[in-house]
Amino acid sequence: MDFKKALVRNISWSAAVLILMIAFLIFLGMDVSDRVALIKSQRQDLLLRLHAFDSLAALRSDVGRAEELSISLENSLPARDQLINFSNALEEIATDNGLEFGFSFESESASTETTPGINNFTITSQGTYANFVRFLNEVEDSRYFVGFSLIDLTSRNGEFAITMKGRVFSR
Amino acid sequence: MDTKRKRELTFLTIGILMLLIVIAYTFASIRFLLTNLDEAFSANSIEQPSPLRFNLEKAEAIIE
Repeated sequence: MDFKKALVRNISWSAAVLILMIAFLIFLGMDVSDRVALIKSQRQDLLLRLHAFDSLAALRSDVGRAEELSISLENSLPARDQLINFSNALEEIATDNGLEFGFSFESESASTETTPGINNFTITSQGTYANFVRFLNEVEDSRYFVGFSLIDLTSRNGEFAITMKGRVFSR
Repeated sequence: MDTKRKRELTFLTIGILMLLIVIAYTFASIRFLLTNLDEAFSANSIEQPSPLRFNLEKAEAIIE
């Protein structure tokens, strides 16, 4: 009976010490994890700042050329107001190439910081295929940035009835 | 004599069991500490930010 009591007492003490030790280590482990997260975040912050200095130096050295290019890029697209002349310019090209010409603006979306303004339009025309190809080449060489999403050619009395949907980009 | 041996054996078994628990936990703690140290100070544990530059080549290509 004495042995059993002694055994239970010894095991209880040992178990209590072990439980305390484990609890302390779990607490310590949580603290270590928090500190590791803090160290990682501070190191990341430091690295970001170092890179920011490097980037600043590199950007400063290129800023002159970047400004020139930025102005050129901005001026390469016509202002929205200048698109008033767009249909006239296309009509002139079409007339020069012996094509009949009809034009209407469909819809528009204003420019944002990252995308240019987009103005959708439809052209209806009639003429020979060769004239039509010349017309397209001249539109491509014009000062306007134009993209066509639909070109529909229908043969009619040796000529073609042409419907084109496209968009012109603006500032 | 037989009872005494049994008691000694019981204490010895419990002692060894406790020792094994302590050793296992010590190893687990050291492993945890080393993993965390590696995570905190290793160069691979943080993201390398990409350098910020003007993309002059592309801008020139668009203008040309």
